[in-house]
Amino acid sequence: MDAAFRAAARLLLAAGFGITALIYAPVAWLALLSVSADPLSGWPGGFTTSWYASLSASLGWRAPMLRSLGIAGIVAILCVLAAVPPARAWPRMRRGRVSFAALILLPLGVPGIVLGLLVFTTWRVLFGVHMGAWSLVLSHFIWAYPFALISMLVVTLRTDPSLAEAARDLGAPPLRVLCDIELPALMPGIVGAGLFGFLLSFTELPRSIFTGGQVQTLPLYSFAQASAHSSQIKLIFCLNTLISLASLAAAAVLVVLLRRRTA
Amino acid sequence: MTSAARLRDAALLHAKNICLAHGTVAALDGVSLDVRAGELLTILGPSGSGKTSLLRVLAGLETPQTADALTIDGADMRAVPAHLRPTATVFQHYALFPHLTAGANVEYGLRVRGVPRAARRAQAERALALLRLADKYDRRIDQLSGGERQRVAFARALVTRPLLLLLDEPMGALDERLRATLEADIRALQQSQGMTIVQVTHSRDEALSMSDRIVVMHAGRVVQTGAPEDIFERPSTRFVAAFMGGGEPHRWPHRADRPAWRAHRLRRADLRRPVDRRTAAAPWPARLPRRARGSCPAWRGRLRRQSAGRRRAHAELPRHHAPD
Ligand SMILES: Nc1ncnc2c1ncn2[C@@H]1O[C@H](COP(=O)(O)OP(=O)(O)O)[C@@H](O)[C@H]1O
Ligand SMILES: [Mg+2]
Repeated sequence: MDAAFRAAARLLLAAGFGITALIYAPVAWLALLSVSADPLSGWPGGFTTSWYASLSASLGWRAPMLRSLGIAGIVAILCVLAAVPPARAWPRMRRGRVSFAALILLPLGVPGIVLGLLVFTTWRVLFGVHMGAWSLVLSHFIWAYPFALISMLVVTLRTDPSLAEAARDLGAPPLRVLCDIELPALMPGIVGAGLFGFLLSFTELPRSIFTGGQVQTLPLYSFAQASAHSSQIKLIFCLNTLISLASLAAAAVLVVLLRRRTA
Repeated sequence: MTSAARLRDAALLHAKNICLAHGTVAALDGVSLDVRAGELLTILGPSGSGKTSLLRVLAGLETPQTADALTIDGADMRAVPAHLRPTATVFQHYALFPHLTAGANVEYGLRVRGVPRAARRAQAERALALLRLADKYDRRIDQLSGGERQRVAFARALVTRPLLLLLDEPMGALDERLRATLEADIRALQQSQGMTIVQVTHSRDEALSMSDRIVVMHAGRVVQTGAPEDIFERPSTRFVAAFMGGGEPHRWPHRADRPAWRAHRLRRADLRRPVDRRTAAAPWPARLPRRARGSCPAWRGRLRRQSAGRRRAHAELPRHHAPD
């Protein structure tokens, strides 16, 4: 019994490592290919840094990159602003908690392409939304918001409501209670919500295909280069390696920051 | 001037006919309370009797459905929000801010009042020293023991110099030895600072050992008020007698008290009700019968509908406890 239990635990641990490897291995492979002579062959070899040199000389990716950063930043801010009020209210709701959560989470089941099409067809026709940067923001926000809200809810459900009451009792007016007591307690959720908003928007492709209009984001640019078999394609390996490393580093820094704040 | 009016003039706190309902549960059912300046008043009652609710109404954290009067130091508090009331609370589970140090917790009430940094640090240090925590200023809350957290919560409430200090089961989570030291601390503070304290407890011994006066609560109502000896030796109802020592009421002087006597017979419906673990062995009904209510018009109709079934059970009971 005990031995079987231990064996099962070891199996699960191995599976955990296996899954983690599945996530990180492609990034490592991508990094290897980006310094290979012929990345398109799929096998590393003949190592060179020439692709990185041409990437830094090339200009095509810079505008899409800046655009993606801007859009992701706006989506992150929108996610935080829109997730904080309902997440604060949720633990205090007497009725309808489950249906409220379901209402918010169900859109996760809508495939990305369908959502992109919906925004493209209905929003454009019904509400006259012009396809461009703002429709990108809108579709990315619809995509990222449920994740942001979950991240906030995890924190608000754990937060002790008597802390805010204690602050009021000590003489803090409502705004001070919010700034001094509630926001610091919510900070892990805020960071999480912002991170979800940023990363999900920054890497979003299926919805952007429909809602981008003339505006090209970084994933749209990579996709276009890759499908056009352009000469730029080898640079995409370098670009994606750099982006992966940067987002991994950002995530690591945030984890460290959050540990320090909540410990 | 009548003696009641004189008491009201001397009272730091005067509350009259306070009714508070959570949904259909009447947490406070027409509670009146007077607290004299400088006294340590203990509210005693089994768990669920409305003690916490009463403190929260006094602090302004809960808005009662009715309150004929609620004054502190002569000022009407009914429209005053919690953060502007001259009260400070030590919460049942302390509610210390986990992201601040012990010192910053104590300073918080001064910080929101705009006291300059140096002055508030000095005051916080003095308050911590008063509670023998001088070396814990820079500690995080999770690095403190239960008794130390308790005393930090105390210091935090004290530095704002409240007119009225409210303590919700201040010793609830402490062991015997800490309890005794803290009891002495509270008494010493009250006497040296001339502080007026309203304390809540469900422990008879705590109430008897340190109070100037005791208010006994049961099912959202005040059932007896008096000095500890009076309540112990002359309980006015069977409930108080059982709660204070398990005996019969000392005597039964006035006819006027008889409805109260009748009110506390055991009823079958009450015996079937699931009750709190701490009160499970208690030989009194968990709720007063409907007849005992009546001062709170706001929910009378709703509760009457609720209690129709219980009234039927009441009628079937044997009559051996009935007076006369
Ligand atoms: N937020 C609330 N919602 C519903 N019922 C409540 C709430 N707070 C208290 N009550 C009810 O009010 C009654 C009095 O509670 P409380 O004042 O906490 O009692 P005590 O502090 O004496 O144990 C109890 O029956 C309790 O269940
Ligand atoms: Mg309580």
